[in-house]
Amino acid sequence: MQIQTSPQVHDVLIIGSGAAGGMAAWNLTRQGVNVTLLDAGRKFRRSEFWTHVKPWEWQQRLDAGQKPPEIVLSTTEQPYITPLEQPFLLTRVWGRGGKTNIWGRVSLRYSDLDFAGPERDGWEIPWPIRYKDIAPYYDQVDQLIGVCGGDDDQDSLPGSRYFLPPPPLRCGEHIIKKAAHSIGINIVPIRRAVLTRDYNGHTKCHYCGACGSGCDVGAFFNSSDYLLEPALKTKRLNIIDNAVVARILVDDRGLANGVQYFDRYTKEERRIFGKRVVVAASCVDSSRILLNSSSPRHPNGIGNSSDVIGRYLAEQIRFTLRGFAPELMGGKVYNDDGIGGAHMYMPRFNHRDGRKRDYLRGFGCQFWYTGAQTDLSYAKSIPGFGLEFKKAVK
Amino acid sequence: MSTRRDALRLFTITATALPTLASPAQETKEMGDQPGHIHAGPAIKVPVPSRPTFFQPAEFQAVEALSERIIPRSDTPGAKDAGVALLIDKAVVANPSLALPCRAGLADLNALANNSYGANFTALTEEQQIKLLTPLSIETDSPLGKFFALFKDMTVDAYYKTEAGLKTELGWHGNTYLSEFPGCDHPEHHS
Repeated sequence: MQIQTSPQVHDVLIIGSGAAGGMAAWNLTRQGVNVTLLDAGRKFRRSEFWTHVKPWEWQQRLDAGQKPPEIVLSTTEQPYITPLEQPFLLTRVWGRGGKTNIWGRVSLRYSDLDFAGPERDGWEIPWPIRYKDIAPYYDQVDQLIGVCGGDDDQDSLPGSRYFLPPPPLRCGEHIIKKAAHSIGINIVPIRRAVLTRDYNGHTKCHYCGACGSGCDVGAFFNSSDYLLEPALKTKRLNIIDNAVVARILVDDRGLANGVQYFDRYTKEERRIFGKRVVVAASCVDSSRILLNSSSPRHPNGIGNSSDVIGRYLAEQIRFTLRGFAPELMGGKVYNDDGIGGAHMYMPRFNHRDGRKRDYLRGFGCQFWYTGAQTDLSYAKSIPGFGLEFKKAVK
Repeated sequence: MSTRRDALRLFTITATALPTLASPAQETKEMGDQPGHIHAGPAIKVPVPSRPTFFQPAEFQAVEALSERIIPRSDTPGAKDAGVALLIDKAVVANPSLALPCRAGLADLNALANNSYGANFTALTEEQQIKLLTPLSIETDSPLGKFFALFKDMTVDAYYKTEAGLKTELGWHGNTYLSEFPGCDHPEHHS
């Protein structure tokens, strides 16, 4: 098969269009640099999102042969396997904006409690920076993308001068907050990249709660609307769609000078050259590309003399608890969608009382799915059947 | 003390100056006309399939009867009103591993009904059906108990995804466009 190669040498090649690739493209283009970005999919059309399809309409639409846009990459198209007993939930989005199209939007700052952790307890490599070094960048990002939050500033969760107003709490959240305060645990408005008012030309949230299907008005930060569209307006950004990158090409000195990629659908192989290559293809796909890029200068893949690329991968570590608020039983049903998910947050508190724990460091809590939901799986654990059962579910 | 509804109504008038007040079904106004909003078109109306593709007619009647016993009609629709049996049929078609447990379970249920009352499950009175099912809903270790648990899960999955189950029965009225999110205004919930 003939390999299509363009002799042009681009200034910068960026692999990936998500949060990192989009930010790189946005920053470089506004500083006058010409950028060519390779994305493994195409732009998702907001007008095609199934954001406002009610739960009972999904099946009807599927029966009629309609399909929601395939935001999450199907494992039929790109299967993956993991070792036995080592499951790994790999969510990939091949398409413009990547996972920012469907992300959870939680935008918490690290604090010095986090940065100093490795030094204090001797685990992990110490951070070379502290909060004051990164705070100006947090400020810039908050201003650019719009993050809602409160006016508090916690030792374990720094605040921001640039937060948009927080969404009001739901009944269930108030009840949890009250209970937490009664035992001295602080609850604060969560910081999430959802627009609670029109901001920077972007439309505010309309509280439908269906963010996971993609926002049809772009009311939460996504790389496509917030970074790539402004970058395209500079005329310095060129995006190549459906370009699945296989490896980084290097010159005789071992320096990156291009990229080998395949068209996602025609499978044609292509090569493109550039003076700089930015790898921003998500944790796992970036690892794949770096490991694939072996050469005499980089026998173990690029950037992998340590041999740790692709190892020690961890999902977001989280534990889920369910609770039930008897106060709310039998009451009026409210529209509890809000900004889709948690409106409040419990910052790490276990360092405050001076008590010694039998584990390292700490944790924060998010409170999701409070109030009226469409997921009724809890009903399966309610015993019995018939009228009593129906009443108990309600 | 003003009620939540009053507060919302006041809010709606002062904050958004709508020509019409909030409709009774909604807490605040819908906002489909906000600049930048491109909402997908209305849901297509699809004729609901009237025939099962997996279950035989007699089996299907049993599926209808059994699901109706689990979630019966009250002042709100039951499983039969909601078309749960067809959704269960669809679920079996989509997940073939359910086919054998469902088919065998329904046959076992009829065998039990015949042993106890000399008739198939669908021919029993409501009271007889309830009497037959009550021990099955408790003894989850027996084959029939396991079938009942599976069938109950399938009924729950189907019913509470329908408009009848989610909206009419539970009163869920989410996934709409609101100009503001009011949040809780019960002082007793606040700290």
